[in-house]
This record gives sequence, C-alpha cells and structure tokens, in this order.
Amino acid sequence: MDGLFAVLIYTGVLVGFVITNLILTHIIGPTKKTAVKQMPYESGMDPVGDARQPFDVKFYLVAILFLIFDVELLFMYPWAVAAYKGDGGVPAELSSTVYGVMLVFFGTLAIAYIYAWRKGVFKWR
Amino acid sequence: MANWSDIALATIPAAPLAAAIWCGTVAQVVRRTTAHRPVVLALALSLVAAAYVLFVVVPGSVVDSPAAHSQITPIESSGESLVKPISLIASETPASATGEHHGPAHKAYIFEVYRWMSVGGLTVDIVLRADAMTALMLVMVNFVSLLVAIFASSYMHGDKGYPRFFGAMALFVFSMNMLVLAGNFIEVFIFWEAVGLCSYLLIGHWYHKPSAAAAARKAFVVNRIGDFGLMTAIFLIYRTFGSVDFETVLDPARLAELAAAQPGLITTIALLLLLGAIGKSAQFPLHVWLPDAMEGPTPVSALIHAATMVTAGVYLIARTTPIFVHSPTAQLVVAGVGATTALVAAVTALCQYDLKRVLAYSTVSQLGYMFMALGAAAASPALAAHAETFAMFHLLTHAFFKAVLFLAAGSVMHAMGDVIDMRRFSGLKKALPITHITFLCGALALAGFPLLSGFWSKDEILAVVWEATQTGDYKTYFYLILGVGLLTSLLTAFYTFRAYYLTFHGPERFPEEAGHHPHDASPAMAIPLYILAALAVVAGLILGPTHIYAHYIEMTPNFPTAAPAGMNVGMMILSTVLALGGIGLAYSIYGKATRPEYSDARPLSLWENVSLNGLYLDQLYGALIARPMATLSAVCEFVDRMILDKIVDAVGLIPIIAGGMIRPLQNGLVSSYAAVMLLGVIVALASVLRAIASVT
Amino acid sequence: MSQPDAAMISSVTSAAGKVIPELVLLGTVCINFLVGPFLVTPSGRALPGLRHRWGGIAIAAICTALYLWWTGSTEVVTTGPFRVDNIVWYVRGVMLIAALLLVLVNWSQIEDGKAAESHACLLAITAGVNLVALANDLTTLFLALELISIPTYLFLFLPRKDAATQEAGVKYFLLSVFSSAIMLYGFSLIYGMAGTTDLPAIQTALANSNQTPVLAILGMVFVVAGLAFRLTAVPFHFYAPDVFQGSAASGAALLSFVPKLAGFIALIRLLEPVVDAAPGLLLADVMLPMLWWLSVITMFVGNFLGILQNDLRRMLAYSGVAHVGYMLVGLNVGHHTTSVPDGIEALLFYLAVYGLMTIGAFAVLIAAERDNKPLETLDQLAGLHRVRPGLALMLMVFMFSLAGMPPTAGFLAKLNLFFAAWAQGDVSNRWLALFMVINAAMGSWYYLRVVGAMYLREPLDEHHGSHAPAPIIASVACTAMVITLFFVPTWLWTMVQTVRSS
Repeated sequence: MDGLFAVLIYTGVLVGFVITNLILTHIIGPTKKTAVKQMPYESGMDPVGDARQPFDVKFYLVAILFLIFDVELLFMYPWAVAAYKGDGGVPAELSSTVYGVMLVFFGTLAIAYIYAWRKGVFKWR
Repeated sequence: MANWSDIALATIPAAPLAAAIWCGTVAQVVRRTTAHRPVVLALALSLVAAAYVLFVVVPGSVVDSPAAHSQITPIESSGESLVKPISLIASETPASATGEHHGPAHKAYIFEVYRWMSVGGLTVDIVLRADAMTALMLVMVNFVSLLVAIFASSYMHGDKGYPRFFGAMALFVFSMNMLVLAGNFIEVFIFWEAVGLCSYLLIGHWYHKPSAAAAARKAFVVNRIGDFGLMTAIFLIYRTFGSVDFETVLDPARLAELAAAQPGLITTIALLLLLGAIGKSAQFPLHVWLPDAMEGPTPVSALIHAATMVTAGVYLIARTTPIFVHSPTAQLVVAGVGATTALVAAVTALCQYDLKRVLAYSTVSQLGYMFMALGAAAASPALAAHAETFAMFHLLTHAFFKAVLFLAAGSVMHAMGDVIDMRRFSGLKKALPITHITFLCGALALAGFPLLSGFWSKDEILAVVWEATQTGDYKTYFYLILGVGLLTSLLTAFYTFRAYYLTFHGPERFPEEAGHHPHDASPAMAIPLYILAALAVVAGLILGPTHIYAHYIEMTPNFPTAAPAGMNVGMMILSTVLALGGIGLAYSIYGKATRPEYSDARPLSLWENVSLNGLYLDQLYGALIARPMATLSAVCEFVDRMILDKIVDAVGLIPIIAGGMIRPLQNGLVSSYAAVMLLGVIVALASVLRAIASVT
Repeated sequence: MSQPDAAMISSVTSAAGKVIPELVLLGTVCINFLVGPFLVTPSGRALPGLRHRWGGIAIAAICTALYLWWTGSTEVVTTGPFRVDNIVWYVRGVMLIAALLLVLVNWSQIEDGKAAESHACLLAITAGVNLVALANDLTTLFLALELISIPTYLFLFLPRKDAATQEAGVKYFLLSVFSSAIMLYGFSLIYGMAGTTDLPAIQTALANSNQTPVLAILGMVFVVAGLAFRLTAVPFHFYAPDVFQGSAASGAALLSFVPKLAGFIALIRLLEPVVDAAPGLLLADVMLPMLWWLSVITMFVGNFLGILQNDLRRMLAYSGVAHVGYMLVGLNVGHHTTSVPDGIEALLFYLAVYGLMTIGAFAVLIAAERDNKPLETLDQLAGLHRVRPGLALMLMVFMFSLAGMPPTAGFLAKLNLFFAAWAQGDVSNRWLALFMVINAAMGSWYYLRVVGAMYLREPLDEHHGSHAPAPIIASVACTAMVITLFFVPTWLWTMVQTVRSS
C-alpha cells in the first residue's frame, strides 16, 4: 500500500489542478457575449438542424478499418520489441515459428486490405 | 441359412410393405385405378405364408431334447390331454429348461433378421418371432385384411385417393404383422406407433371433411396417452430385467422370483402396460376416440377399428400374461376396466341412430369383454390359461362377425348414398338381400345366438368369470363382474337387433341421396361378405367346443397351465336366454312394420299383426325399459361427449394456454431480450450462490 | 519469465500439423476473399452462374478436408493449444458432413455476386466448430467460438437485402456480442481462480486447491449462460424465432444446428475437466441442478411456444429450442455416472441425428420455394403432396424424425436419451426422462400439423416452384441417412462409443 500512496497524492493533485483551472478561467476570464461566440462548436461544421442526424455509413466503414489496423499495429508492437530480445523473449527454438505466424498474420491482413480496396471501401463517392 | 420357415416369416410383413411402396410411388402416377391389385396379391401371399406358419412352422418348433426330462410325465400325443397338475404352474419355465407335461414342449420360432442396435447394455435385434398365439393372430389379420381389401376395391372405386388408401392399408397390414411378429418390447413399441400412424392416415382419408380431420387428430392424441404408459413400462422392464426380449422378460421362473421380491414393481409394470393397452384398445376412459374414428372409410373401420388394431391391446396383455399372473391387483384392474367399458359402451350403443356408431360402441363393449376375461385370472392362477385362451378366442370370432357387420354397414352406406342415419332409411331387406342376410349372420353371432361364433366365445368368457366367482379372495367382485357381463350380453343382443330391425325391416324407405334404385353389393363386395358371414356362423362351432383352438394356443411358450375346460351348461343356458331375450325385446319394440313417426300406409304383413298384439307390452317396455334406458344412455352419451371429450380437449389446451402466457415476453425488442438473458444469469447466479452457501 | 520445456515447445511448433483439415478450409476462405471481388464489378454485378463455381470450390475444399480427416492420424494429444482425441474426430466428421449439406442448401439462396463471401463464411464457420472441439485452452476456445460467430453475422446478412433480414442480422449480432461478453467474463473468473488458461492445467489447479472454488463456479455459471445463447436454451432463446423468421432459409438452417453443435461440444469440453475435478463434487452439486432446470424449462417452453406458431421457421426455431432441452438431458446424465448407455454418448448421437433432420427439413423448405420467395406460413405447404409428392414425403420423414417417431433416426436418438436418463437411476434424472416423454408427445402435435397440411389439405395453387437440384440433393441425402440410421444405427453408435472410450 505504501508504494501506491505516492500515486494517490499524484492523482489528487492532478484532479485538483484541473478543477482549479476550470474554476479560475470562469471567474477571471473576460466574457463578451457575441452571436458567434455563443454558437456551439462542432468540428468546423455549421450546427444547423438536429444534432442527431444520421451519418453516412462510409464514416463507420473507415472508422472500423482504422480501428482494425490500429489494433493490429498495437499487436505487432510488443512482438517486435520483445520477441528477439535474446534473453527473456521468445525461446530460440520458437523464433522461426513465431516469425512464420507473423507472416501469416500480415498475409491475412493484406488479403483483408485487398478485399476492402476492391469492394470500394476507400472510395468516398 | 434361409429355409422355408424363414422365408414364410419374412414374406408376411415384406409382401404388404412392397405393395405399400408400390402404391406410394408408382401407383401415384400410373395405374391409379388398379392400385388394389398389388395389395390384394400381397395380402394373399401373406395369408399363404401365415397359414404355413400356422400349420408347419409353429407345430414344428419343438424343444430338442425331451429325453433329458422325460421323468416328469409320460409323453402323450400332442394336445390330447388337457389335464395338467396345477402345481406345475409356478415351475413352468422356458421349454429348454424344464420337462414336458404333455407332448413335446413348443418354443417360439425366431428368425433373427439382424442386430439392430447395441446401445450400452441394451441390445435389440430385429427378429420375427412366431409362436402359436402369433400364428393365430397372423392368420386372422391377413385373412380379414385380404377380404377387406377385396371389398374396398369395389367400395372405394372412383375415390380420388384410391392409391393412397391402398398404400396406407398395405402399410397398416405390414405394421400390424410386425407388431404381432415382434420378439421384443422395442419392436412392439415401434409398430404400436406405426399402426397408430396408419390409423391416423386412414381415419383422415377424407380430409376434406373437417370432422374426419378432427377425428384423426383426436385418435392420435388420445393414443399418445396410452403410448406414454407403454413407453414407461418398457423403461421399467429394461431397468428391471436388463433386457427387452420376450424370451428373457417373460421367463416365468425369473418372474416368480422377482414377484416374490418386489411385488410392487411387477404391479407397476403391469398397470403401465395396461395403460398402453387401454389407449390402443379403446377402453374406458380412453375409448372416446373410437366412435369418432368412424369418420374414416368403412373398410378401415372394419379392418382397423374392429378386427385388428384395436385388439392389439388385448394381444399385448395376453402376451404379457406371465407378468400379469403375478399381480392380482393389476388383473383386478383389468377386469374392472373391461367390465366398466363393456357396460358403458353397451348402454351408449342403445340410443345411437348412426349405424356405424352402434357398431363402434359394440366393438368397444366386446373388447371390454376380452379384458374382463383376461382379468378373471386374478381369482386364481389356475384360471390364467382359460382366461387367455378365451380372450384370444373371442378376439378371433369377434374379428369375423364384427368385420362382416361393418362391411355390411358399408354396403348399406354405399347403397344409400353415404347416408348412415338409421332414421332416414328402413326396410332395406328387399332392396339389399345380400347385405341383409350377411348382416343378419353377423348380428346373430354378435348377439350370442346359440351355436354361432359369438355364442361360443362369449359363453366361455362368462364361464371363466363364473369360475372366478367360485375360487379365490375376490368372489364378490367377480359376482359383480359376472352380473355386468350378463347384463351386457342382454344389452348387446338388444341394440344389435334394434339396429338390424331399424335398417332392414319396416316400410321400405330410401333417402334422396340413394337415388331410386339402390343397388346391392357388387360381386367384389359380396364375396367377402359371404365368406365372413359363413365364418361368423360356423367358426365358433368348429374351433370352440372341439377344443381345436384351445389346444393350439397352448403351444405358446410360457403359456399358463390349463385345468380341464368343462362345458358350463348352466352358463350356456343363461346366456342363450339372455341373447334370445334381447333379440325378442328388440323385435317387440322395433320389429313392427310401422314406426310412430313414419306411419305411412303400406300393406301390412305378419309383423304388423304381431306388433298389434304386443302393443301393451310395447308401452310397458317403453315405460319400464326403453325410457330409463334412453335416459341412462343419454347420461352415458353426456359423460362421453361433455366430460371425457372435454377433458381430452382440455388436456390439449394446457400447452396452448401455457404457451400463450409465455408469449408476451417474445416482443421482438432486442433490449428486452437482453434484459431477460441478464435476468436469467442473475437467477442462475443467485441459485448457485445459495447452493454453495448451503453446502459449505 | 520461466523457460518453457521441450515438450511445450514441440507442442507449439507441431500445432499446425494438428489442424490440417481446418487449414485447408481457412486457406480456401482466403482464396475466396482474395479472388472473389475481382470476378465481380465494383457495383456487385457478376456473370450469371458464378455461384456454381464458388459452390464447387467450397465442396472441393470440404471434400479435401474430409479426406484428410478420414486418413489423418488418430493419435491422441492432450498438450499444447490443441487437443486431439476422439471427440475431435467425431465432431470433425459430423461438422464436415453438415457443412457439405449446408453448402448445398445455400447454393441457390445466394446471388452470384455474393457467392464467394457466403461460401467463405460457411467454410470459416466449419473450421471454427472443429477448432472448438480442438481447443485445449480458454483463449483458443474463445477464438474458435468467435470464428463461428463473426462469419455467422455475415452469413445471415448476405442473402437478402430487405429490412427483415437486416433486422434479423443486427438482432443476432447484438445479442451474440452480449452473450460473448458474458462468457468471456466467466472465462476471466475461471482464469482468476486457476491462474492459467490451459484447460488441463485448470483441472489440476482445481483438483489441488483446498478451498471451495467459488470463483470458478461463478465463472462456470457465466460460461454456461453464454453458451446457452448459442444453444438457444431458455431464457437465452428469444432471438431464435425472430432471427429464423427474418433470415433466409439457409441462414436458419445454419443457425438451427451449427451453434448448437459448437455449444454442446464446448460444454462437454468445459464441464468434463472442471466438474470432474471439483473437490468433493461441490461443483457438480451446484451445477447439475442448474443444468436440470435449464433442460426442463427449455423443453417445456420450446414445445409450448412451438404449438402456437403458424410461421414455419418460427416453428422450427422453437422445435430447435425443445430439442436442446432434450439434449441437455444427456449432458445432465452424462458426466456423473458410469452406467450404460452414457448420457454424453446419447447426446453425441442425438446431435448428429438432429443435424440431419433439421438441415434436411430446411432443405425441403428451400426446394419448395416459389419464385425465390421463402415459404413462410404453414398454409403455403398445403397440399404439397399433390404438387411435389417427393418433397412432401421427405418433409414428412423429417417431421416424424423430429417428433421421434419410427421409422426414423429421431426415434432412436430419443430412445437412447430416455434410456440413458432412466438407466442412470437417479430420481431427478427419471423425472427428466418422464418430462421428455411428455414433451415428445406435445411436440408431435405441431410436427403433425405440418404433415397434416401437406397431406390432408388441398393445394392453394398448382405452382410447382423451382427445381434447383442442390437443395433436393441435400434433402435426399438427409432423408436417406435419417432412414438408414434407423435401420442400421450400429455404425454411428460404435463411433460414438469409440469417442467415449478414449
């Protein structure tokens, strides 16, 4: 528990800093209410109409593809770092097997990528 | 290894099966109108094979080594001596294990077709097993089927489903033959279901009538209750004996041992078997399906619902007699069920106006007789042989005379343009002479007219019940049963002849549907009628008093030992008086030429004068007998229609109501499904945690 | 990190050699996805008849896998990520044959442009089921189950584009993910208890632990709940009728059998080591009542609701629910008795027979389709025996088999379960046997309605429907096997017994 005590203090300070800053800006900062300033900010788009408008399905497709490749990159990273460390990594007898497995993994990803490309997922219109 | 016996045994089911396949495939497309030919041919072939089994295979299947046991009794010529010491009853074991009482011991002839399955400890072979009881059933089934098929070839002529009808009929005969030839309980169950299925298909043959479709479904559902009993009985048998083969299970020595150790178990098995038999043989209170089953074509009623399938229950109990003899309780229930059914059905039959329904209730009542006989062995094990013999004998004679009655009723229906209501026609004796004379033969036999088939078999049953009143602990009970039997005998004669007089006597009237000149049975219909009528008259006389039947059936392995069967002259006289009394009663009420509601002017005959003289009696009967009877009959009918039927319907409703209660949960919303799943997990977790807490 | 020993290393390096039939299937999946899109225009149009080519390739792949399965070694291996034993052998055989039938069923249900993906999904699902049987590790097991789930979503979604299909696909997707999450939570609890994901190691850990494995028991409850979704056991069955009704008949055929097979195999795999290893049989004391109730509720609810249905696929969905109730009886009886016949044996036998009869029934429904519109209500089957006598006969065989009536394999399958439950001798299991008899009687009611509609009613019109050969071949094959298995059941039973003897 002793080791965690420092972390607890750190967390307390962190949260306190954020809250203090938020409150301070509200109190100290100048407030000029113009029409543009009062408008909600929405990623550069004009906030017209219902906020719950349906998005084009292509957003989701790209988002899912991004997510998949992103997660798979995360999977590759520890492998690249840890596998060939020599001591404490993958045992030497297994290194070629694991390498082969990774190649199969890349291959599968490539097939998925080709499939998505051919199916026109990357074409916006 | 194939020899003639195997070939004969295989032919009996194979021929109808081949015919059924033909009708189900080829005949659906071509040769539709001659679909009956392969069926008739196949049934003839089966009949020949069955006869071969009857005369050659069964008498020839004797135990090999009589010498080793010859010290017990000097061997007499087979079947001549009926005298056997009663003390041997308990020691009667499979023929191979014991010696001989009279002539060579017979064993069942078994043709092992193949090893069907071997599941864990349970091994089931498909076998064709023939013994004396089987052979008698086989000959009866195939003989009646053949005649009914010939009859139906003319009766069903022009029907849209002609090949379908014959296909289902051949399939039925196949299943029935297999049921009879079964060598173990699993085979019995399979074909028990199969005959029910064929019955379902045939009752619903005219599916365009909603009543026919409803009747078919009702028959099926009611029968499932009985099947439940049979299935559970088989579980128990397997659990108890570790086998389902007849040879192992029905071993008397082992059964005696077991009965001494666990009498309750034997009684439970017997009662569950009885439940199965009650369903199939339409016994009270599961008899409600049989009258409705008359919606099927009449040949079907004659074959399945009079002669063959409905007797399967009787056959099952007779077959498992070695089990039943160890449970007087179960046998008392058998007798009670039989007597109740016999009386209730007979009383219900009194007031029916539908000719086929009269016959249907009569079938139920006669099956009740057979159960009554089987149950009579409760009084003393010495009676078991008589009980079994005469139940099976009545089964045989009943098949003949009830088949002729049904076929004759079919002939009436055919001539009357499918009208079967006895109020709408009368005096058919002149227009339908063949039908009239054959119906009369059947009716006399059913009524128990002296020297005809029904007389012998019914008399023997009453004699068995009489013997039951003389010995054992249940004298009062059996006096009651005997009284019911005698009363039913009177009622049977009465309602049979009521139907006869209403149909064939009185002023000649036809319904409009019949056209102007109703035609009598065509040759294809007449020949079966004549043959069956002849048998209804003479079969009992030939087989009964000569003991041919009794001697033959004793060849059945494990058959109980018989005491000498004497003629019970007193009972004979009594039943004769009752039969004649019933006929006379029917005559005096319905034999008149004029009917109150249809008193049209027609030249009067002898009938008129006699009935004029009996006018006072008529009124007396009306007041003293007919009215109370009508009331009682109405009550029975009410119980039948309003209570038993409703119970059956209500049992059918339970799943529907219960389903309707769960249904609202199924609302199509993913979120509520997920919520219910989560609830399920929570309930499971809670119960498991509780269980853990209670254990630790 | 501790140094692994040589045995473990070799079990990893040789792992690929244990799954060669599955590698063939998955390789074909890759080919389908790689080549498929190049044979269609980007808008999805394809040459007519392309589906025959893809169907042929799928059949070739399955036949190759079947050949490898039949000739492959039967050496038993119990270490490493994959476990090879007789159960694997049996499941591979059953699943590959079922896949063959499903390819035929799917043949005419899919348009040319989507045939590559659809058949690829089917092959991936097949590999997934085999891997479930092979799994020797919680991780492998979960991955294998997901290898079934994810292609299933696609498979349900691909055939049609109407709102009903999409709703069915989404419904299945959401609830399936939910159930996977429940199961994964259970896995994590078991892992937390045992400290390993290796199934044999979990067994050892449980056997050696000297305190009540409460965590593992709770984990098992979650796992059983998650798998119960795949089995469509009540109360996890709700999606089944909706999804069956909404999806194409081939999707319903797949759902009616494949997830159930996978679920039961996973349950057998999990319950055997975990329940058997439980100290003092506490786990058995706790889990068995739960399975008992699951079985009873499932069979009763399935049959009660089945009676009310007029929609054929909803009816078959409830029929499947009821059959799962029966099969759970086998699981309930199986693993705590030495009596013969064994409940697990009866269950394995039942699974194969159930697959044949349910896939066969859907094959007939597909063969009887008119204008590529699926049959929906019972009325559409009216008088089928006049219009298509062969199809009516086959459907009657399947209905009888589902109802458990002779002369069909369904009768024997039920009989085995009855005997297993009865012979086991426990009062609670005898009750199960009795409930089964009652339910079989109730179930026959709605199966007979189908037979009655086909045989006892007039056809609505004289439309003969399509005569596409593939579903007819599938239904003829199923009929033949359902009938043959009734008359000569010994060979399958011998296989099942071999499975158990290992």
